[in-house]
Amino acid sequence: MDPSQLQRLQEEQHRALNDCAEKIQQWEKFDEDYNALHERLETLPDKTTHDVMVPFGSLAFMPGKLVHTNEILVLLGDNWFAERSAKQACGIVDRRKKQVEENLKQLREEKRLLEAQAGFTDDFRTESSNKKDIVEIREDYDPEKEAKWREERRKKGRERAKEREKEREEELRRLKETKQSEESTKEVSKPSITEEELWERLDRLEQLEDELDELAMLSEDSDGDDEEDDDDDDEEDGCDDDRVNEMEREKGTWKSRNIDEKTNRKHVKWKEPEQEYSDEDKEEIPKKTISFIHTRISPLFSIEEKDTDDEDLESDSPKIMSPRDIYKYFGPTTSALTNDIVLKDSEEPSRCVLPATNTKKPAKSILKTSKSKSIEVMDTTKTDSKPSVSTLLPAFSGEVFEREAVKEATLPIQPVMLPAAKRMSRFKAARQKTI
Amino acid sequence: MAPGRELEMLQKQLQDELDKLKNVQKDYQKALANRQQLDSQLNENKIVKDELDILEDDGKVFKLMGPVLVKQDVEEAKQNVGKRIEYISSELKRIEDSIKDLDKKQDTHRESLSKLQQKFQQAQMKQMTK
Repeated sequence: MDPSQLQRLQEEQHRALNDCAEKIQQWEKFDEDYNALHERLETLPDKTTHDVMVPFGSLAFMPGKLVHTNEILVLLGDNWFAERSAKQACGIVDRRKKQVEENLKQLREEKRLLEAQAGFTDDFRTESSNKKDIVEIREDYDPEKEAKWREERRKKGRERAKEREKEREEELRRLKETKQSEESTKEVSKPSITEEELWERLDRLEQLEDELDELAMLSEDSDGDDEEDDDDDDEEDGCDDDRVNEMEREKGTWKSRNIDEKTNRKHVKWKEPEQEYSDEDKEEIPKKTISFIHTRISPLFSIEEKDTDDEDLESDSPKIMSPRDIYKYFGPTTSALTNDIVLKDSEEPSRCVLPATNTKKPAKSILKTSKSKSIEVMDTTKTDSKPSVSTLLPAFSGEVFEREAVKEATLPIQPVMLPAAKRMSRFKAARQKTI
Repeated sequence: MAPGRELEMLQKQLQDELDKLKNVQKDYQKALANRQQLDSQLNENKIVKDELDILEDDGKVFKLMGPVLVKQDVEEAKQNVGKRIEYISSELKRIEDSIKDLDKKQDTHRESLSKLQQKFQQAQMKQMTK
C-alpha cells in the first residue's frame, strides 16, 4: 500500500471519528439539559409563586413572579403542545431522556468501532513503513496466465499418471509372470499375488505417493480452486486434477485418490460407474492417481477354475465370515485407487461367486469373459467401495452371470462398471449386463 | 473537414450528456435531502403520538398555528397526528422510489458519457494522426 493511500485512509477515518465525537458531545449536552429541567420541574411546584428576574431582551432583566407553577405547556413536537402538571412533565422529560441515552449508546458504539478501524490502519502503516523485513506480497492475477499455467500442470500430471500406470502394469505383469511360473500350467485365472509381493508393491506405491506429494508441495501454488477446473475438464480425457474431476464425476463409487499436483490432500471419492474409461482411453488418460492401496489378498477367481483356484488363492475354501472375507474373495474389482487394473493377460477375470461353503461347486462360470472384455472391465472398473491394492484382476469382469449358488445380493459387491456414459446405478447396470 | 466536424459534434454530445448527468445528480441530491427531512418529521410525529396516547382524555392539547396557540381536543389531536404520520409515510415512499429512479438514470447517463468520451478520444487521435 502506498503511504499516500494510507494517509488518505487515515484522514477519512479521523474525520469520521471527529464527526462522531461531535455528535456525542451534542447529545450529552441534551442529556445535561434534560437533567437540569427535571430538577427544575421538581422544585417548581414547591411554591405557588416564585420570585424571579425575568430577562428582557438580551441585556436586561426585570424582577417578576412565576405563577401557575404547576401548569406546564409541553412541546410534544411538530407544533403540538400539551398542558401538563409538573409531575407529568417530569414523566415526559424522563421518557425523552431515555431516548437520548439510547442515541448516546449507539453513538458511543460507533465511535468505538471507528477507533478500532483507525487503530488498525495506524498499525498497518507503521508496520509497512518502518520495518524492512515485513514485505507486502503482491500477486497479480491475470486470468489468462492462470489458465495457461493450469493447462500445463494438467498435462504434466497426465503424463506422470501415464507413467505411473505403465509402471503399475509392468509390475503386475511381472508378478503375474512369477506367479504363473510357480503355478501349474492350468489356466490361471489370475495370478495370486503372494503377500510379500503385495507388501512390496504397497511400499513402492507409497513411496511414489510421497514423491508426488513433495512435488505437489513444491510446485503447488495457491490453486485451491481445483474445483473450478472441473468445468474445463469435462472431457473424457480427464485431467490431472484428479481430485477435481473425481469430485465432479465420481459420485457413485468410492475411490480414494491422490491428488498429486494440485494438492497434497488425499481424498476418497465416490465414483460413478459410468465414469470408467474405456479401454482405448485408458492408455491416454489415467485420470486418477492411485494413492491408497490395500493389499489385495485374493483377486477374484473364476468359478470355473474354482476348484483349483480357490485353493490356490486361499488356503481355505472361501468362507465368508466377515466383510473382510468378501473383500478377499470378491476382491475389489479394481483397486479403488486405480483405474487400471490390470491383468492384461487375460485371465478371465472371473468373478468369485460367494462360495458359501462349498468351494468345489462347479459353477457355471459366472464370468466367461473374453479377454477384451475383461480388460475393458479391468480398465474401467472402479471398485465399489473397498480400496485394494491394484489388483491383477478386476474383481468384476463387467458381466454378471447367474449361478445357482449365487444370489443377486452378492453381486453388488462388485460394482459393474459400464463404459457407458449414461448414469445408472450399479445394480441397474448389473442387471442390464445380465440381460 | 468531415473529421473536424465529427469532432465538434462529438464534443457537443459530450457536453450535453454531461449537463444531463449534472441535472440528474442535482435532483438526486434534492430528493435525498427531502427524504431525510421527511424521515425526521416522521420520527417526531411518532413521538407526539406516543405522548398523546399517554395523555389522559381530559388533558389540554394546543396546536401552534403561526403566532396562535389553539386549544385542541385530545381525540382530535390524536387523529390529526395519525393522519399526518400516514401522509408523511406515503411521501417518504414516493421520494424513495424517485430516488431509485434518479439513481438509475444517473448510471445510464454516466455510461453513455464514458462511451462518448471514448469515441471522442478516438476521433481526436484520428485527427491528430492526420
